[in-house]
Amino acid sequence: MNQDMQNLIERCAKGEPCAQKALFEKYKARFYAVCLRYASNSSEAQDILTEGFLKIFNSIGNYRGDGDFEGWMYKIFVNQALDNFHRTKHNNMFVEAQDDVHNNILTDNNAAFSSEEQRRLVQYLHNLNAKERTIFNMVVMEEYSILEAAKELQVNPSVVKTYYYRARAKLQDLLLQNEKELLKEYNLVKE
Amino acid sequence: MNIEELYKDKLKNSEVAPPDVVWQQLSSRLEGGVSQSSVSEAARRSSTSMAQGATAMATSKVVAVVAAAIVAAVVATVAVIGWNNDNPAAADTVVVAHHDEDDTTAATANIESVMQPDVASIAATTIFNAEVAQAVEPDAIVPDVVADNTVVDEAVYMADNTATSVSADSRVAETEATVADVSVFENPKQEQEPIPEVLQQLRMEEDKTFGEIFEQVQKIEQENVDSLAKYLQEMFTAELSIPRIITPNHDNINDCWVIKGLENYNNVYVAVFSVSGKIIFESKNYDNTWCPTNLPDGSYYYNVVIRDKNYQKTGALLIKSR
Repeated sequence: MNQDMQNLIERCAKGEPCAQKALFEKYKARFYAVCLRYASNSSEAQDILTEGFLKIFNSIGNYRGDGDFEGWMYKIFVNQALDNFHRTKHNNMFVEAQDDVHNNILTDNNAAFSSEEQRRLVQYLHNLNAKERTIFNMVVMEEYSILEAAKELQVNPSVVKTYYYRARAKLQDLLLQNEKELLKEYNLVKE
Repeated sequence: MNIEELYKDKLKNSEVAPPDVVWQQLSSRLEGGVSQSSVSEAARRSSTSMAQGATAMATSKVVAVVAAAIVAAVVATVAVIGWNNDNPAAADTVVVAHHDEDDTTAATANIESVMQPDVASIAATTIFNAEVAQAVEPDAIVPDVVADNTVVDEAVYMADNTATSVSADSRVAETEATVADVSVFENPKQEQEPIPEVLQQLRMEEDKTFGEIFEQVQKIEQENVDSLAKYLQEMFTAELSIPRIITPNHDNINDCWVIKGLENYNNVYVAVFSVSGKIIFESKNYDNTWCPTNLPDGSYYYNVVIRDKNYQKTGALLIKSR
């Protein structure tokens, strides 16, 4: 890690607002993308983002400058997203088929994607229900194993598998419908 | 199809700018001293998102109640069709149930009101659901009671203390109205683009499985209610009048311990204890012929059990010969 970064972290640990803002500005887009993947809409994502940064600023004093600072932050955000999932999961019991339709990321001005393709892919994630989306994220993006994910979520591995396959099937359908070009790029459909 | 790679590639390093308001909230929280407020903020946030989810949840709970009503109505209809004629005992209970139905429905849809022994109506449901093989005269009263009671019970269980109360009058109309609304339940995404046939079918199959599981859970719950209701019914319908004082002074008035209503049951077990717990008298098939003459005056205890009816009563028995 270079010296500038080191300094920034030290100043954040001291609680300097300037430094905190700088850190935020540097990483906000990176982690907002992560939050959007997990949340069901952009306002939930903003919540996760805020809480995540708060946790980071709170515990940055404990960070021993040993290695991957970004990775350390990333883990905090993933954990924050999982916390959020656990908290809101009970409310979602009856809304299995769809999440709040009004917050469609395709038309949401609160999320400035750098590419429309990414925006669409995230929208497909939002088409899943919370369990499917969380598990897909954990297994595919965070590369948890099925067993690790089961332990983390405190469910049976078969539950994880079920939701994972369901998520994948739904995403496959959506991609088949809407993203033929993309699939060709990855050789997932014939010409 | 391995879409994992596709997703990883495309989203792994994606960046999305959040709205400015996030920093405003964040900085004000940081100024305010974070560690305490983050917990309460988390609570506030979760309640906000809960409020968001609550509306959706309420709607879908109504939908679920509707679905439950449909299921219940179907089950009830099937049961009605299977009935023949002539079982006078059950017919009596039908009349009783209809009277008490108003009491049941007057209470708000609240699990407590169901669990309190408004027993006759619960018992009526028991009889209808459990003893399908037996016959009931399919007079006009019957379908009302069955459908209505079942709908109330299902609605209560599903809605989990937060359902709307169901009034007796509107219930039939409601059941009919909800039939039309089934389409909402089966096609929740009508307002979006048309979905291919295959996907629709898959989704319906998913819903069907969910519905089947749902039904089974309902059945189990109903069975639990039924057995409880049966138990309660038997408790309440076994009526004995047990005297608490006997005066064995040879005046032929209350010389013997005569339990009224005994003749209606077989094998009524009684036991009389002294204060110290010693059994003074015991009979496995009491016939009202115990007339103690040599017992010292004082308090004793009795225990009366009718095994077949799961009935048991204990109480004090005073013997006073002077």
